[in-house]
Amino acid sequence: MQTATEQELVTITVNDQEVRVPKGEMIVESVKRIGLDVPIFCYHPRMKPVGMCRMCLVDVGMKQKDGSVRVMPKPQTACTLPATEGLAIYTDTEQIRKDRKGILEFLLVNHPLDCPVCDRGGECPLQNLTLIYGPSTTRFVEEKRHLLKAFPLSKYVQLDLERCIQCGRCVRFTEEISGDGQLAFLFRGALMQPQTYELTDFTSRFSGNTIEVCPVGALTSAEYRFRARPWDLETSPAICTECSNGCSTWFDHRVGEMIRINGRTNEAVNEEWTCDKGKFGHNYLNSPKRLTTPLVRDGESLREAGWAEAYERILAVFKGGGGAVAGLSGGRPSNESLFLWKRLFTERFESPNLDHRWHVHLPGAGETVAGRHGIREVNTPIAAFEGMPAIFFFGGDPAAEQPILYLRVRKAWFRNEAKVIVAAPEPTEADNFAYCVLRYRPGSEAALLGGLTRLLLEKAGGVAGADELRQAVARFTPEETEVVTGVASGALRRAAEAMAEGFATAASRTLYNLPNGADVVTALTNLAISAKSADRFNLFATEANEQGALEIGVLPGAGGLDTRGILEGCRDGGVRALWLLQCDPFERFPNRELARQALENVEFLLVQDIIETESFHHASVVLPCCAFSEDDGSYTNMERRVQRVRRVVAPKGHAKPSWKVFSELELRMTGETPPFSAKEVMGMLGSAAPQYQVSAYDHLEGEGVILPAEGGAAEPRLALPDYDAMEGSRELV
Amino acid sequence: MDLIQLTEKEERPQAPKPGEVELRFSDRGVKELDYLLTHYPDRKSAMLPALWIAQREYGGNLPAEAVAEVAVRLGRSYAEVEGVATFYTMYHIRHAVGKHVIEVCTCIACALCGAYRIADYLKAKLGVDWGETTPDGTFTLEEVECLDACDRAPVLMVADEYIGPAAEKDVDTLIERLRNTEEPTTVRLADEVTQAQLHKTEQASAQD
Amino acid sequence: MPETRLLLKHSGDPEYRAIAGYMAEGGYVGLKKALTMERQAVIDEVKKSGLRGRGGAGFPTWMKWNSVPKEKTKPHYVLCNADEGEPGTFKDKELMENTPHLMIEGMIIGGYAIQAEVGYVYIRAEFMDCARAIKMAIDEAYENGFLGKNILGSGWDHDIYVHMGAGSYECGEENAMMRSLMGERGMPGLKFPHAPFPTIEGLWNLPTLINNVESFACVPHIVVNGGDWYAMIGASTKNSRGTKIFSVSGHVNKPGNYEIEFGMPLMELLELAGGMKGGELKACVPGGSSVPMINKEQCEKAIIGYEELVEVGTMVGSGGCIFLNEHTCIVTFIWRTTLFYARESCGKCTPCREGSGRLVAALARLRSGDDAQKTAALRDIDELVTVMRSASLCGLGQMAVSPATSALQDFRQAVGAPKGANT
Repeated sequence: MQTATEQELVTITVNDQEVRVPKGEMIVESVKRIGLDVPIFCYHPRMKPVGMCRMCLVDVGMKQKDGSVRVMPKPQTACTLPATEGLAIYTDTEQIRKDRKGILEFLLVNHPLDCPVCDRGGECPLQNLTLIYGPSTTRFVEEKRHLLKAFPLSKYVQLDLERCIQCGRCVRFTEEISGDGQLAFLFRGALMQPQTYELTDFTSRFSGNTIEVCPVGALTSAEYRFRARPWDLETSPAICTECSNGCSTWFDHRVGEMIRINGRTNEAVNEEWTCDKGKFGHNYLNSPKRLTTPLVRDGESLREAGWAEAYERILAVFKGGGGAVAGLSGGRPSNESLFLWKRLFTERFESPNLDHRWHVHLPGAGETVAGRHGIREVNTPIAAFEGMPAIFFFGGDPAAEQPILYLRVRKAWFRNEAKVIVAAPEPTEADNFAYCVLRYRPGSEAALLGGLTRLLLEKAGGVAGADELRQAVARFTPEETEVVTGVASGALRRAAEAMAEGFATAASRTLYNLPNGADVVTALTNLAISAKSADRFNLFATEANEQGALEIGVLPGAGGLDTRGILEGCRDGGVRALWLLQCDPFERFPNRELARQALENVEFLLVQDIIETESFHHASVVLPCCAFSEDDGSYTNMERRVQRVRRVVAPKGHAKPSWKVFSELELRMTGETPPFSAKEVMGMLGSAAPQYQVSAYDHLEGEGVILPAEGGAAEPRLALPDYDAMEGSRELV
Repeated sequence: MDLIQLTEKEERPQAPKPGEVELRFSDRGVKELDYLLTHYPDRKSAMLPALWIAQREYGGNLPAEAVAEVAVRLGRSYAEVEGVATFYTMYHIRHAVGKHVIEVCTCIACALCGAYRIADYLKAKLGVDWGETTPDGTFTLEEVECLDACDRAPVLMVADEYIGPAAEKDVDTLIERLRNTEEPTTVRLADEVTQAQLHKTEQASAQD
Repeated sequence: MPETRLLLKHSGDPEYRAIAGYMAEGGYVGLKKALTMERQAVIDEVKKSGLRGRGGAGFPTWMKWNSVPKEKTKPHYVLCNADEGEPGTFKDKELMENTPHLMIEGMIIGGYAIQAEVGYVYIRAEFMDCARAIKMAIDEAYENGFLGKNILGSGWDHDIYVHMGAGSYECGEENAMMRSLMGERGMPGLKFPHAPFPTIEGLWNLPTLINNVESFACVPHIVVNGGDWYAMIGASTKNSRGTKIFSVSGHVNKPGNYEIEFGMPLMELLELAGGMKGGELKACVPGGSSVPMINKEQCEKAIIGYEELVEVGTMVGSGGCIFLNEHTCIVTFIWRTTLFYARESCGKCTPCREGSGRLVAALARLRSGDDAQKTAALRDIDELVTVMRSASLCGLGQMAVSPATSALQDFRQAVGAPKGANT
């Protein structure tokens, strides 16, 4: 990536005012530097300019040697004109005014002007610009064009072709940004219209963005359809908690109800995009199944209760419970809640039985990446992927697991020709731009990684402790690897070639769902270290605050039980009371039978959640908690970025923020003054977990902050996973 | 355009997965496409030639399946291929045509020289209007823009053949001749276009 | 002044279409000569000849050739624009059908001069006779060692492929043509100063030389006889050299292609074409439908030459010369011309996509409306065309208005007159 200091600056004049701008910058951007704006429809700063709508016309001149300005005979589009030395721009001449008016008149010639019933009305660029620049009446008497209207292009997106102004933003979005190419212009001339193939379902993971980039009401949200007018909505900044990417969003609400979610610009994370899960997946917030009041069990049924009664019942069991009580959380509670919850368990209940992980394989402290190799699980910020020359996706479908990271990696390929190597057992969406696809047989992960490691060790040389590893992977010649994994030896060599100069690893912790997960992760780490790329190694979290839970240490303490141990303890009677914090073992734990036995047998089950889950029916006490939009707090995303959210709407019913519940319980146990705000909790977290010291709320505006690395950079260590045990897949051949 | 009527949003028709697309190109078509691919540095550039082959292989039209097949063969999205195909007037997509397409140039030079009179004669004779196909599926009448044979105005075109200056009696002869032509001229044109793009050696090898 | 048949000298001679006949008349001598010359020397000959692009814009051909990077670091391409589509023009059609080798030889010489490895001929799919002739010429050129590996022992390899269009006038625009060849919708992209010229970034973002069929066909003559010789033809004009093929059609007795020397009066061209048919001359569109229409008075003053025609308010264009007799309704004529542009508009930019259709509608009102409607229509047209000309992305939209503007200037009184309706 080019930094500002490297950029050559040129002097241009805009309406006779001089301004220095980077050479090659589009004039449409340059004029903003002196506070001017040229009207646009087709231009979008994140897509290649096309100059289709002609709305951004400006008069352009060139400064001559004698100081005079020679103006070009025809106006030029500011969105496609790169800045060069001596360019003279005029944004407000007689001709330009006439042209803008003319263009708007043309755009409206076939536009239905149905603003009163259009969802876009009130926030519509066509409406706004017509008001500023356009004609107030029409001169044309001919019939308007009639095309498809209110057509459900997918569950989420409605298409109205009569409103379309053919700017191509949606088409270019699917071509350039999401890459699925599901929308294209059909026909030509006056009949040109964007559509999916044969009007089939628009199945893109990112389809919601086309609604936002559309400058008119041609693409509207089926969910938001006729629900509100934009001026009736309150808009507040929020963070999406549907996955670990932590996108910035605008949370639009009305009388305490979520109405819609839109992307909010955060250059470091999501630029301005959202995935459909993030945009349309928040309906649970308004669900009738939301928990709104504490419930306690009386015999067969749960009844509503006050908080005091609930607290009493909880403390009666958990206070001093020690090893007989346990807690399981999901990866969604905020940093503040997780911190106080952990403190409650370790210091007040004196129980080491705590975990937030739900994978098949739960590595002990010595088996983790940090423990085995001395490096951090996560090293590369999302934005840094843009500048990576080679990126290695391993194990799953990145578009599904890390949608926003996927967009960034695609951009790295699209803009900077990054070489993306995709290794996955199933086809993934990244395949279509991959430099190399390694489709291995499920179960042969380690052999594939061994084969790659062998090739990279040949090239690298001089990695400390490589000799043993070299021996361990010696038998994974490309040909042998092909036999075991099914990946052609040529493809393997090609991948190794691209990775030899160093690469960024992008894998997620779902690798621990493999039976030999810890060994696969070790093999993956070895591979990164072999190419001297340990500083770009990433084993990403998949839940909104899973990384936070790891940083804060919601993990078994000394002698404590992990998730499996806790559930087995519940089943066998060793654990008498279980606290489920925003998680449902039925849904999360790979062995559903064990989950059932555990929840049926445990004496006391405390369920604290946003919504009714399956576990809810086994609960002894139920506590309602707040969704991300109803509580102050912060989240640590997969790249270790801490971002703050503020309360946007009131909690449902009697629900309380989780951190408040925990501090109220502490108050009852100790009598000490509890923290009164999430901000105060963050202060306490900073002293307990030093990396969070930077996360004082005053610092968390804008893009958020990435947690600093603790200590100096340790020399990464190679480790020997059990390559032999992994060869079971050979039997499949 | 007919609107697709939907009952439920959930019942939206799905595009086929790339692996599910039925590939119907003949061996010859596949070989021809392989040769054409060698003419360009990337696969996408063979789009127009591939669509011509598809138009021949699918009997003179480009149904949705043909679009999908070209997309799969070239590794592009379905929508993109459909977008390209609908841009060009000589691909018969989204409007199926009959065996013989009679194209009447009504552009300026031809209009000056009586193209509309000939057009009216043709319409009456075939009993169809612009863009329509005779009920027996034999003729489709199309109005086209300048065929660049203004010295022969008014001019008609059928497949790769120009007829002009066309008078009423020429139209009669043409219709009579086409009625007795078994092979659809639309297919012939697609084949001729494909052959013109192949070198002699490539043609010979593709026909083996 | 008679015709000066240089390119069309052997047109109509079936022998000449085959390579043997072509070579018997001095074919491929130019290529052989060029291969012994420095590449720059070939470009210099073209420069001396004063040859200007015959496709419509009249850009000096050598400047294109010369702007292709001399230092070759990546592949270069040649693209022959054989997508003749301008209403009234059919010269390339005759050239390709009758003298295919002439054009192919010119392309190979061009390819040599700019160090290209591959050339493409983009032919519209309607021109099957041309395509077959060109394809045969290419095959014969391979057989005789004028194409392929190590051409005539020069160590230089060159291939030529035919690429067929599929029905779009817009693809005759060089930028749209490149996109079409690359498998996209035939829409024009960004042009200078918004993007580099095709000779720097053309096909697949690599240097690409694009010339018209007629321009390439001139090249062998220039190389064989020298640029100075060529520059003597048409020397009476300001800056137009050589011969130009005019396709004469409309109300004339002998429509067809006439190759003439620059400097000939337009009225003589009309004489060559057998004079007017069915009535006196009323107006003429001398360079294809995109150029402004001129009236009889202007026709009588007009001398054929790039600058000379500009003086009477029109252009050489592609050389599609349409003469209209006195019985022609001008409004109907421009309505039909504009309808052509509306139908062929690619739809990319707003003014052309929406404006061309509205212009057709306004012209229809002008044709058949009452007096008040006519006055309103005229006012609408005036404003419409200003925006279209000023704001359109490519030549199609900008030129689509020229029939209307030029004709209405001249014939305004007549068309706008309350009585007398359609003139």
